Order: sequence, then structure tokens, then C-alpha cells
Amino acid sequence: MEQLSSLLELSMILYSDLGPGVVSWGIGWIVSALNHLRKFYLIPISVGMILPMLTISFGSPLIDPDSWGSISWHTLIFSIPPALISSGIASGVIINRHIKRDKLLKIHDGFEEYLLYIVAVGFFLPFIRELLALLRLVLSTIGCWIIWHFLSPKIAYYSLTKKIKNRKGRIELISSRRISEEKLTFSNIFSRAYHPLAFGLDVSLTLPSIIELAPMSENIFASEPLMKTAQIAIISILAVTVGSSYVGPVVWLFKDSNIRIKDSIKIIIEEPKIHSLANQLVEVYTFLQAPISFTVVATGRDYTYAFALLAMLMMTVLTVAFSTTILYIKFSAKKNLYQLTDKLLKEGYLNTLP
Amino acid sequence: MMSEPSIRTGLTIVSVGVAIIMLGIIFYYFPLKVWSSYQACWNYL
Repeated sequence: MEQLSSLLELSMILYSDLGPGVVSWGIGWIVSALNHLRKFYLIPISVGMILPMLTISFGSPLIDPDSWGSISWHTLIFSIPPALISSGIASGVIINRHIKRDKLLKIHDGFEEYLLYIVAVGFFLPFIRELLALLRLVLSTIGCWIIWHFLSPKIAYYSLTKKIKNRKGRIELISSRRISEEKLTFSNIFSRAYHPLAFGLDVSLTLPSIIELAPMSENIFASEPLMKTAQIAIISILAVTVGSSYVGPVVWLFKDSNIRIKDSIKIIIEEPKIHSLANQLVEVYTFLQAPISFTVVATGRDYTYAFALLAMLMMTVLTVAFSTTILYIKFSAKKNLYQLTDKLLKEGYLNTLP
Repeated sequence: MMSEPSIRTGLTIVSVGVAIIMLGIIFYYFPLKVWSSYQACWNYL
């Protein structure tokens, strides 16, 4: 009988996990093969991201113990999406390697941009049942974008001119006027959304750990892990909204403007950098370690609960960071870039190379 | 170096996946038959 029950367990894995996963992997592979130059491998990646959100938001009637519904719910979240995403990434890596080797040109059309918008809207889907939560996220996204739009060129200008004023005559700003405008691509948006996400999470997790050391701190944060994680998520979003313009858009402005700092005494030319403390807060190690240790401690080492809360925390903050990054790159990045370089040129801080 | 994604490879992977699902369903609905035939094979060997 023991063997029979293990056979049943094995059958469950085969038809609800492994089988659908392999089929989805194959489908992702076929879709990617349809057009190599138009980045069709992004379709399985996007579907893999949207599918769990759709299942979470509209699939709750499926949850019914001992039925096919709950098995399909499980499959739609834990089996098909990871397979689709990994298949898309694998084929993308191979296709890009071949394109580079054969020196082919990729086709840039609106297709990738539209996929990005769909994924960004998909991130909001799990919150659709709670209108207040959805409204908070949408407002945070818009607020964050407005703050980034107006604040980032000013902070970038201030931090560059401050360096020149502090070290009179020693340094100058040089530029080749080769401004690189960023396109709305998946790799661009994901690598850029990482900065505000990491900053928001790290600030909001460092702050409570300091506050909790203080006496009478019990009243500030809820003791219940779910409530506490929700509070942290709100603080993270606030940190993304208010603080991350310094680590996000300012760094992008420095990078895209191709401005260099020339030190005439040390005889070096270096890229402008943000403050090292802010830089520390977006490091990969802190980004990974801080949320994991927070949720594990908050849930009293109940690892399943910790994993669920960690996913919730990441999802909430990523939703805001991702959509804001898209809005900023689409509507503000180019304008702010020219505004910064023009202002620096007009006021004589920036010298252009011949 | 791995070959580029092609429809043919994709279809092969899909068929393997379908076969795995079928195997899972057979194991689920006919566990006794599967188990007894496994034992019969083992005894025969």
C-alpha cells in the first residue's frame, strides 16, 4: 500500500507539475522560433509573468480541495509560468548569441513596448479585488513619476556643480556630447527598475530594525507578521516614491549624458557617482539578505509563511518600481537629459570635447 | 553550442510533455494495474 501511495504521489507530480511544465517549455520554444529578429522570445516571458497574476486575481473559484480546479490553480501558478519564463530566457540567450555571431540586425518596432505595457498592467492585477490597495499603488506610481520627473535633473545638477564648487579649479566636467537615449526594452526596464526596488526595500527594512532597538517601539509596528509586512510594503513604496530619485533617475542621467569628471591634479577622468551610502543600499547582497531575514524573523521561522510574505512584499514594491521606471523612460528621460546638459553648458560648468 | 530554437524541437518537447502527462494520468487512474504489472515484470526478471 505504501508503494501505491507513492505511485499516486508520483502521478500527481507527472500530470500536474512536470508534464504541463515540459509542454509549456516546448510551446515557449515554438513561439520563440517563429521570428528570431523580432524578439518573439519575449512573448513566453510576458505570458509567464501575467499568467500567475491572472490566476491570483480571477482564479479563486478554482480553489476547492480535492478537485481538478485546485490542481489547475497550482499548475497555472507553479508549473506553467516558470517553464514559459525559463524557455523564453533560454531561447533569448541562444538567439542573441547567434545574432551577434552572424552580425544580424534586430528589428525594433512597437511590439516590445506594447508587451512591456501589458506586463506593467499585469502587475496591478492581483490588487484588483481591493480597490483601495489598487488606488494606493496607482497613486504612488503617478506620484513617484512626477517626483522623479521634476526632482532628478535638479538633484543631478546640484550634485555635479557642488563637486566643482567644493574643489575649485581642481576638477572640471567634460562631455563628448554623445548622449545615449535609452529605449523601452525589457532588459533596460528590468535592470533599471532594480535600483528603486532595491533602495526602497533596503531603506524600509533598515529603518524598522533600528527603530525596534529603541525602547517603547512595540507600538510602532504591528506584531502580527502579515500586518507588519504590509506596513513595511507601504514604507518601501514611500521610500521608492520619495527617496529613490537619487539612486534611480540621477544615476541614469549621469550614465546617459556621458559626462566625465576630469581631475587635473590627480590626472584622472572618472564617471560621476552618487554618495557611497546610497550606493550601498542598492547592492545585490543587501537587497537579497534584508527582505529574507526580515520575513523569516517576522514569521517566527515559519518558512512557508515567510516565503508567501516575501513574495507579497516584493510584488507590491516591484509593481510601483516597474511602472514608474516605464513612465519615466517613456516620458521624462530624454527631456531631463537635454535639460541637464543644456543647463550645465549654459552656466559654463560643462566643457565639450572637440 | 546549442542550436537555435526551431518549431521542430519545440514540437518534440511538447510531445515529451504530453507523454509525461499521459503517464501521470495512467499512474493515477490505474495504480493497481501499474503496480501489479511492475511486480509481474520484476518477478519475471
